[in-house]
Amino acid sequence: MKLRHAVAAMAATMLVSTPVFAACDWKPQRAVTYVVPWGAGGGTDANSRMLASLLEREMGQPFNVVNRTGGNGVVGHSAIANAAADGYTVGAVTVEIAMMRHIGLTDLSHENVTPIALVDIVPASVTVGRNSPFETLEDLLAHAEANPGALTASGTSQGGIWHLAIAGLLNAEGIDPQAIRWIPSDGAASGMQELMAGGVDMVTVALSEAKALISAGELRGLAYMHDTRMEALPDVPTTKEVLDSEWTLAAFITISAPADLPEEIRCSYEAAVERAFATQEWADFKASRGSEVVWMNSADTAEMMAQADENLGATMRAIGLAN
Amino acid sequence: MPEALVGAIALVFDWQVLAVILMAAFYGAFVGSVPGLTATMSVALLVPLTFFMDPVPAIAAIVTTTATAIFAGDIPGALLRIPGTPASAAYVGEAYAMTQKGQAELALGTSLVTAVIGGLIGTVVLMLVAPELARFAIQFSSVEYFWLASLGLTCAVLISGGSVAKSLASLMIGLLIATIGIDVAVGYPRFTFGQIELLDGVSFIPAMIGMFAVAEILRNVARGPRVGRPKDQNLAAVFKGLGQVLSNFRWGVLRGSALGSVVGALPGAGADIAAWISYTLAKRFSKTPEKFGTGHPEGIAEAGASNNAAVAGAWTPALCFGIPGDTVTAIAIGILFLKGLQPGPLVFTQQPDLVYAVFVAFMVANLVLLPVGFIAIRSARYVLKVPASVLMPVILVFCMVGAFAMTNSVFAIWIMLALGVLAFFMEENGFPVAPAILGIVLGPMVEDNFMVTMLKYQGDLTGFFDRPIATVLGVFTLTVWTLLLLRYLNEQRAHRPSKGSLHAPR
Amino acid sequence: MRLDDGLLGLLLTVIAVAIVMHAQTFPRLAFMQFGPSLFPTILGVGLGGCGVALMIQSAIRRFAGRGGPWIDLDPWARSARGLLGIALFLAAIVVYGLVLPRLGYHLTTAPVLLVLLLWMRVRWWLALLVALGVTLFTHQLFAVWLRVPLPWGLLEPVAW
Repeated sequence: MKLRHAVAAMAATMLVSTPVFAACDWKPQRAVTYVVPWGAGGGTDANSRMLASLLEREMGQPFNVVNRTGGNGVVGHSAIANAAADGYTVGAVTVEIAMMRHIGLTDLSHENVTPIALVDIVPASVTVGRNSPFETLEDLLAHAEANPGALTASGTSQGGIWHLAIAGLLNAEGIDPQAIRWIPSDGAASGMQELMAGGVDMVTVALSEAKALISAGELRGLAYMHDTRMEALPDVPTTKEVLDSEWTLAAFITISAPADLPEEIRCSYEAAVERAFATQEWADFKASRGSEVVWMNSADTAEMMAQADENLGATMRAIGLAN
Repeated sequence: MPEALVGAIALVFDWQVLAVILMAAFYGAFVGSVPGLTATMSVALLVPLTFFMDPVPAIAAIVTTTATAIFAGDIPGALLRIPGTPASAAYVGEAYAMTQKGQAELALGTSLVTAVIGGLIGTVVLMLVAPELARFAIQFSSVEYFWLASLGLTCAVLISGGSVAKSLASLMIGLLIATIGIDVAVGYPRFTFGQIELLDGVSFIPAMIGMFAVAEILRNVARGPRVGRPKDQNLAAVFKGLGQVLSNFRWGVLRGSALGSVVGALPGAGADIAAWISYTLAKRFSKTPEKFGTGHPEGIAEAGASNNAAVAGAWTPALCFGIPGDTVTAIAIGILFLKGLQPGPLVFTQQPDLVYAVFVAFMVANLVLLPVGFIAIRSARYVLKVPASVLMPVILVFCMVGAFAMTNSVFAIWIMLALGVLAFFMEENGFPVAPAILGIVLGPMVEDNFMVTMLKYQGDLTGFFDRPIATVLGVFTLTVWTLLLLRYLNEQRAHRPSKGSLHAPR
Repeated sequence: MRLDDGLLGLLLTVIAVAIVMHAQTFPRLAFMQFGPSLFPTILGVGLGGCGVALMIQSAIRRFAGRGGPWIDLDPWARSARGLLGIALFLAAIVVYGLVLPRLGYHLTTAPVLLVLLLWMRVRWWLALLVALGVTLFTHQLFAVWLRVPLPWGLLEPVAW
């Protein structure tokens, strides 16, 4: 165990190749608060609770998950960013950190947090009801282009990540981003309910969220906004295959801490998360949700967040969601 | 089906599973009776434990915790006028009035036994017609939800006695409080005064704690303990006089159970809304509606059955489509996934054992509720033995920690304070608070679904009657409103000269 | 403190007008005639309507010579102890909310509880016992068993 720890820690330091030497053996002395900006029962919550229970074992102290919901993630992300950077508050920073400042709700950005690791990548989909006239994404886009405003899509709030997914896709394909009207919903589940009730024409929620209903034949997946097909749903084509623009969009979930987290604490967490991800429990958990185990260290996660901030900001300006 | 049922019974009647159920029942009873700790939170806390359990005990633990927690919320409601969970809010005034009449044991006995009956009926409904019920529930789009919520608002007018103007004003205040926060149509933050904590609106649990508990504490401090605070309530006789109550209100209990099962099955509606509607129906169809609000068990019997039936109902869309009916089932679906169970239409044919295990677990949970609830009520009597001078400050601390626990920030304490003062002032001046609470509960549902519908139909109002269920609900709602208005105008004409007491009776 | 229905109606009407006016500053949807202001406006008008109704009812009563006092003070509102009690409990909540994040759970809860108990005329030793007992018990309950992150504040160095 000790040896493995040391090796993992070394590996971690080498990976980030930071000039500062740190022993990476910091351990919390009391309970740690794990802030989740989204509600209990959602994907971020499930991933974070699972990781929290594994970290509890790695770090030897309770990790208390608290859901700080509201304001499309602003409340929870602010709680993470404004906490003391002492290792006793970590949180699930999600893709919305790269969006909220462009909308103008807050000044908060990826610079206000210290990323520790990537937890999950959640690519969007285009999913229609089982009685939908559309069999392929191309059909659907052709119809949308010919009849702007006739089709509706749902899956999250106005200006939320799945709204960006479809509007960005239309924009990338040279179609008016408003050609498919966005109908806000409380979240993926109520968006899919609306779709099944016939209230909207499609949802663009994560394919993993729609997976159960697609495999049951209640819904039909037209596209997966990712570069490789999902193992659990190999029949759903990727947007990279079928679109000229090769548009893809994925939400992400990270574990992050407030900005200016001491290096020693950061690398200790990074190592602990890497060990947690190597466990069988984590692999089983990921498999049960139809997603794959991902790993990205702090530096790469930070880089990805900065990239997302730039890309999503550009998309939001292009489709008129931000100025 | 019988084969699967036998298999499921064998799965649940395993001593380990039964031990888990018993422990979960005590846990649920405890969490439910502490204001600020909700069923959702208690189930979320169970998640790490369920990682190490087999599927059946894991499901049984969740099911039992929620079923007991919803009942246990009635205990502080009846004894202290502080509902332990939002599902008890509808009839907390009634239960507390019974306690003041020295009938705490009858109030709690009624809510316990009807909770068990409601839970069992809800489970039977789930077993028999889950797929059909789910098919029905899944047809609800924003239009249907809008009409349902509007119908729910009617309850505010029907349940509150006293001045119509004041009841309506109270409802408006509640609905206005519900408009605080980011709006659904364009995402604009309304009435937030730059507070990011208000972006999501006023958190309901702190609001409820403030409007019930803080207002009650303030009244006690101002006046001394309220009149007729009974010193020696004998909570030993929990089941005394119950037979009479149950046989008198048997149809109400049945109606409540049936309604709870259906409302619970609608994703987004749940135990709290079911309880409000059932309490209103009980009053509307009662032979003695004038007794409501004065400590009368009829409404408690119907609404108490309704909210526990809704707990089972919420599993309908969760099992059949993997669409959660509430946050508890959302968490449960995640756990089912983890256990290799894929909720959805296929689950009934592919894994009938586990589906029936859920049903059997519900049955056992509701049966276990009877003794555990009895013990909980018996233990709760000590609360009444504590003098008010000690009790009031201690309750205030529990309220503040409970509010804090809900959002993990002191902001909830400010919300609790503000709404507590508001409710105190309102009740002093003859405004009933129940309509305001209902407004806070239903406000977002009414507005969000209205705006979403308008967006869908691009402002065309005929959209509200575009679909069959919506048309039925819409016409029904409008008819009820018209009838109410006509009745009110009639009464005004008949009673004008004699109406005129300065303060409406409370 | 009870106000006459006429005064209450006036108060509601003033609040309603303020809400409706504020709501008109909300942005609208580009392609529709309404937006976030629609519901607050409807509700504000409704509230104002209730206010006006209350004023009319009050006026009718006064005209008929059955009006009461404009402001009716309950006995508690005239007694110093009643008023001070309300003020003290409200102040306790305010102090609690302000001080909790800084001093931490124990150092806030116990003194606040002690003061309130003493005000309620609980004997000092019992009050002390209850204040300490409840503080430790609720901490164990919420922070340890139910995992609510109650702040430690100044006690952080000795946190358990």
